[in-house]
Amino acid sequence: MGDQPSITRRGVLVGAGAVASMFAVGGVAYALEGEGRGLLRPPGAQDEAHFRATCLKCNRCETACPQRCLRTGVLEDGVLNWRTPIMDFHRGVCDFCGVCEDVCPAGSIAGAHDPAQVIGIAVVDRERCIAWLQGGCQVCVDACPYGAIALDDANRPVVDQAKCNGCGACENACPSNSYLAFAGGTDRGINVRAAGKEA
Amino acid sequence: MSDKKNSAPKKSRFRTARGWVAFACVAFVLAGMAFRVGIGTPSAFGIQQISAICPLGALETMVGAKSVMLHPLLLFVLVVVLIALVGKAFCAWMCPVPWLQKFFRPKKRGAAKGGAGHDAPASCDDSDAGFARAKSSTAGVAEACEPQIGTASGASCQKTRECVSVAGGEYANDAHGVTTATSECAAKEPAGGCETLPLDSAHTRAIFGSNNTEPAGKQAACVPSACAACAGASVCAKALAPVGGKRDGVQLDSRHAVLVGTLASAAVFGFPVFCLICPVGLTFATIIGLWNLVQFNEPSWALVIFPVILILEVTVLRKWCSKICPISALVSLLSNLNITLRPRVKTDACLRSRGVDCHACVDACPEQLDPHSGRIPECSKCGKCVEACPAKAISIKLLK
Repeated sequence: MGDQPSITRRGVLVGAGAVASMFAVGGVAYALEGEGRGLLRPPGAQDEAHFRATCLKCNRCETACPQRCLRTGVLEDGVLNWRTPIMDFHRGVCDFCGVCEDVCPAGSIAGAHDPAQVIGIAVVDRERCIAWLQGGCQVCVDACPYGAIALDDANRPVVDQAKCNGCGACENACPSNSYLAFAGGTDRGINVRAAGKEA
Repeated sequence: MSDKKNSAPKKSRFRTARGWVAFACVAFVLAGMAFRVGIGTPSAFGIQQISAICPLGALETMVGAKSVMLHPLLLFVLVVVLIALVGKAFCAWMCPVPWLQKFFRPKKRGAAKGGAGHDAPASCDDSDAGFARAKSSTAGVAEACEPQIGTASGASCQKTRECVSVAGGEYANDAHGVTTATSECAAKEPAGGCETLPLDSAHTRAIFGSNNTEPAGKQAACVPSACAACAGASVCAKALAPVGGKRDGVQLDSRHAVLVGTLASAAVFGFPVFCLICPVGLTFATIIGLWNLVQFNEPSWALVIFPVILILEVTVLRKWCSKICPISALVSLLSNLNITLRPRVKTDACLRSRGVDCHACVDACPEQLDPHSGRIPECSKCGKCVEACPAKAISIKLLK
């Protein structure tokens, strides 16, 4: 070695091995990811390809969100979404304050100040909604700041998809399944789904 | 910064300072989560729109998204300026990897090969061990070790080390109060080896420590012809040329190949692949996982898988810092711009200027550099040379 800074044969092997492993990791992660999982991203981060390319997993938006509605992705969200920010309306409601966009160092979030951004669409779960099951509840209708939920003739909530931006106020307020954890998961009577994943 | 500039080498003051800085990083992350202020992690520490973005991450995202965005670009420029000011200081002062290496890979005496990066070399020219030995040995005895004699590995080098010391010498009671005991050492045969095995000064690596509180400090001096010195003849009388570090000057090595691979993989797959395995990111992801466990009662695989990857990276990939890390590669390229906060050697105070073949600074340097040489972009400002110098000739100075 001596004072020669040039790349040695050993160095070439080490470098090639490391690069090959990195491509292997990338390929496996890419293959495991599959098609869209319908994760709810912060407002203005709905272009999943751009978001995936730019998110550094720095944890700033999750901890900066004044509404606490961002959680940190876990392995179950997919290897590529591990450590990325995901909306969690059980914790809070998005008010489009734009702080997540401000703190994002990588330009992953664009336009979070604008309530016209569509995070997702609220979908009533008719098997869990108290109004649909037995009637008498209109918590979500009252909670929606955008008047996107109306009561039908039988006083059951119906979402106007054109008005809904997925802020999560309805899901956050929904009393159904709020205090329980059962085998059916944590879904409530009304849940925000990513656009295209409403079914 | 002022604590970095003071040249008085109180022992392990730098290490303590580095420990506090590392602790502060973790504290910042926890405070950011506890007080909801979004300080972030070392991937991007910051306040509001300003953050010290990971320069590698910034490049990866731009390559991955195949577009240049203004905000990340400005933050990247900010970080380049920071690196121009403090060089590779991130590696010694903020990166958790050296601490993990220390924790999961405690120093092994006589290990065959020196560790990489900030791990003190684990071979027989291990400076810390040298200090310890020197302290415990009788005053006036210094040890020198020749790792390259024959095919002897570090381990056998230790076993066969034999030192004969010659106390006194011309350098006793010199101006700096460093009492010198010259010593000559020959490896291989036990006692008496000195007589039969002349040392090649170019290969000799003397180890010594000094302790100014004792009447006789310990120093090793090398003499071109060992046998003559054994007889107490003399040490080299004129100034010696710098030893030179293995990694002085601009380095281009396997790390830079990994850097290219990091950017290429981000471009191919459309996401920052290296971030998935980055030990800095994973360390803090583990801390965040712990936080979420406590705060939200949310156990996660992060608490199992991230530590496993981290431990593999610091135990199997032993030379992570100096051979693999693409962050180190990028920062070292950028730190070619750095001229501030460098270790400077007071030439007249340096023992080499009086012919004592001291290379405590070179031996102590985890980056294998010689602070005497003009260009050391790999310097991580860890301060080990400052503390190792028996003549207190080295200090980290803001400018000159």
